[in-house]
Amino acid sequence: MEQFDAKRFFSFHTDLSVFEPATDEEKRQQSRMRESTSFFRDGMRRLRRDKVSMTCLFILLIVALIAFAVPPFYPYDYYSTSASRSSNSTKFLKPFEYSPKEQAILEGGGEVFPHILGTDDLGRDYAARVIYGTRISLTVGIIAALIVVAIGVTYGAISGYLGGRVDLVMMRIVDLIYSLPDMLIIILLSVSMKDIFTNGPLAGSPIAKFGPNLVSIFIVFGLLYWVGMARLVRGQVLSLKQQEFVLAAESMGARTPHIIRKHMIPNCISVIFISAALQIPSAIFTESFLSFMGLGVSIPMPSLGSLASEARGHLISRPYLLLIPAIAIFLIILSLNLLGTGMRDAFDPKLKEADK
Amino acid sequence: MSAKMAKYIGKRLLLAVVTVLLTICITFTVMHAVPSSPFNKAKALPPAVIIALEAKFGLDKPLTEQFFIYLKNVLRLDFGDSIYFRGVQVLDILKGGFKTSATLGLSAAALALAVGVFLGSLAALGREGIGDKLIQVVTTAMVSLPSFVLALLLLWTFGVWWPILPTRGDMPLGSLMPIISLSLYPMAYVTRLTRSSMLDVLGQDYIRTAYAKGLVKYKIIFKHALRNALTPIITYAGPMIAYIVCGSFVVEQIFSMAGLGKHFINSIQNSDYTMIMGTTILLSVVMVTLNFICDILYTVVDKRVDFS
Repeated sequence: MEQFDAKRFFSFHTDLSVFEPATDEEKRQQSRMRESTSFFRDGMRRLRRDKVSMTCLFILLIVALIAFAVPPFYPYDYYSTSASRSSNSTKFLKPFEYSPKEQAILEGGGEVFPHILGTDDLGRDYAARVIYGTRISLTVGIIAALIVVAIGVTYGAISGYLGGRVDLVMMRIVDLIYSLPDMLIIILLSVSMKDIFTNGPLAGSPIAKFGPNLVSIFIVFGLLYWVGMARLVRGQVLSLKQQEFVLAAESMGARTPHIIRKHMIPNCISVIFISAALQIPSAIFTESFLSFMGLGVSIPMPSLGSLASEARGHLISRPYLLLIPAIAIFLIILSLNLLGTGMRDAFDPKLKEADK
Repeated sequence: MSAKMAKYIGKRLLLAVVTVLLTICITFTVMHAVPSSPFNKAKALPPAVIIALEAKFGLDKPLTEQFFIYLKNVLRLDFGDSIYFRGVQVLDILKGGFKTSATLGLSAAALALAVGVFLGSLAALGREGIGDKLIQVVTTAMVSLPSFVLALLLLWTFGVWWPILPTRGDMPLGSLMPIISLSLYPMAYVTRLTRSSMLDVLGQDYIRTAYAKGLVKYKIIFKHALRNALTPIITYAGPMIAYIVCGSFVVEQIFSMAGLGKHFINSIQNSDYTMIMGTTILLSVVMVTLNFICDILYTVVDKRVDFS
């Protein structure tokens, strides 16, 4: 600055002495940044404005609350037959009907919690079975989705990030698994897994007690279902590497960790999140399908699928035994599907525009 | 056919063959990892009989040798004898069920495609109207129920509550309800797919050109728009085949149809391992072949596909 201090006569050189430095206040006025909002918060804001998604979220929260918070306080469980074990009169009670023994207690001035949905063919409280079944189905869906996310994201990110020959080999493996008839292999694995846990060396282990079929569902998801997620994440990482905003960030001198943290991960997270939300219905479907074939949860544990499948024999006399679990499955899957779509629209506005 | 395309088809063919071989391999390994011998399940047999039976089925040889023998037999379409139904060839059981299942599956696929494309086009044309909204709501509901729940609900509605349709597959018109219950889910999916791809196509410049030329609306829609809107539906063929094959297990069981699916479920419940292996391999060959055909079809129909 010093060298230009004095303005020479007739020169066009700016006379710096008439300028004064801007105050901090004035500097702040100059920056025209809008209030910084994170990618996640921005998406959530859009999601919150979507009435359908919010309704679905609400329904899901209520279902989850009933499934996980009610059982400790509920007087019946899913496996004991109610009241008088020996008599036939506890079977197939209608909703809010009492067995003769319970009737006697009531007349004697005692209190009996009503069977809100009646009892099933073995005299077990149906409401309790539906609640526990919902819990099992939700658990299966969530754990399976977590397994898929863990394996798929790691695999896809490594493949996309490393690129080159590693990527080629890893993607060929994915192609192969993708083209396998997965449902047939799931059935096959479930059949053998059931045998291994009941007759083989693992019989009596904690896993066998937990339910060999549930474990086999998780193993199958871990083996086969992650490929979709892996492809998605790899594609995302590959395309993100070439986006203009990455170039812009690089040209402004951003370092790689910063780009990964601020550009790659936030952009991937929404895809992962949405895909995971849509993975849950698929797991619940698979579980209910296996339950129908007798390969689902172990008796007497109920799942929504096995409840619906058990109701098959009583379709003519007691259709509500089918309708109740069917409605529960319907509500859960529908809400998850709609929420997933809503999330996709909220977190990826580009996709929504392309959709219309 | 360009050289590029031939290379692409060769690649897909290779993938298909490897997939089938891998499936056979997985099937064999998994079924042989099962600890319980198939023979001590039905009733207690003397050890000498078990040894004799194991020798007959070749179960006493080393595993790799067994695999190659099995592979060779499978390639000659010989899946061995059923373990549960003594003396009956697996292939004969499969042959018996194949026709029923193929008819059921193909009719369901045809119904799903025809109705789905029609409803989807309708929804796209009356976009944001009451019909479109209704179609969207119904299709969303349809994809939110597992196949067997859907089939059971249909069975109850039209078989018990309002009995207008026969409930067994072997009655006259009995295949109506199985076909409908099998096609509802893919139908809903095809409807949604057609709607979005139709909307996409209707916004293209060449449609505007067609309007500007003064073509009649229905001609534009059915000749220009639909033809291009249909290409993405071919990509759904793979998942649809998988859904229909698996759905048929359930539907055949519920409506008592003597198809492959029913045999498959029965063989699972009877631990009839040769039968399970045979059905799995046959069905995966069917699925992989159909998928391969659809892949090729897609590249033939859509000239824009890049074969890299």
